[in-house]
Amino acid sequence: MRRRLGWTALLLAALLPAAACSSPRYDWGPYEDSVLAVELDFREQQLMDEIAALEEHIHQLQLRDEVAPPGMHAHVGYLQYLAGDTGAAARHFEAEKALYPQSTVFMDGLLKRI
Amino acid sequence: MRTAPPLRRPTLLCALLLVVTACASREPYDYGPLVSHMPGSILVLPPLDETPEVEAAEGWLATATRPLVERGYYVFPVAVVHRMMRENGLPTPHEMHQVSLTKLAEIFDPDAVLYVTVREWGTSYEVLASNTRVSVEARLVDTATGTEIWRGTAVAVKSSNDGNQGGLIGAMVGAVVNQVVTSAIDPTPDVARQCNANLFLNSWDGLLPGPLHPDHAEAMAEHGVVLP
Repeated sequence: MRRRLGWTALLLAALLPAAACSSPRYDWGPYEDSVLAVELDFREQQLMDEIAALEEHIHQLQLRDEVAPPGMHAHVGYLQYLAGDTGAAARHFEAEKALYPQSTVFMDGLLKRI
Repeated sequence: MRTAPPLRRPTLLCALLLVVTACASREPYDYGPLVSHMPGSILVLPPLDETPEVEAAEGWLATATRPLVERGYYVFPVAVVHRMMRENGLPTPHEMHQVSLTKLAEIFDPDAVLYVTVREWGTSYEVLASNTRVSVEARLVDTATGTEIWRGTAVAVKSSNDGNQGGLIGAMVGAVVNQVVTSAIDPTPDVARQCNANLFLNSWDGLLPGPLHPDHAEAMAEHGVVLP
């Protein structure tokens, strides 16, 4: 059993760096947690907490000159819209569109709604 | 339980033989449809949930974006998509999976749509151990033509006995401790991440590196497409 584990570990050690080094890297921060929170529960205070955590994360990314991963601006923009801050929502939808033109139709649709 | 130890070795041998024969007889995965309809963006719809767990669909959805993005695809914001669909008269993933590609194209404009079914999700407790299992089935469809361009299934399992060498008493203590611990920290999201890695990132029938991935051109060239 132990020997098999050893071989498996060796094989993984050999394969992992090759797979891990070349993929696009993003700092996701609280994104996954926020997706789950938005999916499961939606009390007012939690909405404000999620917005604060994501805005802070995006601010930190900007300080480090890193871009937000796909979907992050759109996600926090939608939360801002739910919280009633349409100005912040629009800024995030525009940011998503500028970073990822693949989202243009969807973001334009959201911008029209707010 | 008493008969388990003598069985263990032959069972292992059989399992290994099965793996070996399964590998030997497997045809290489046909990437033709994916290569000729290579999507730049993927709309992940909320998954159908075939499990008895109440939070499986939401839990899986939260772990889906990262591996797909890191594989080189733009992924639409999953929670926003889900809520918008719900607010527009589609109460469950079942209805969402029935929406026509034309309609999805009009609203989201994705190159491809990912339809997922979660088959297993969560932890089952037995006398001496607990097993956390996640298994999913996925189908990627080209929005413009309706062609299925990729399909995959994956499973990941974590046992509370992994690495436990303490014998029967140790196993019993292990099961109790694990039940206490897992009620506080649910291991399912981590198992789901492993399952998604098995699904999307494996080099046998996983997704090819997409347009945002540095290895994209190389992967396409391997399948006969030289990008400008």
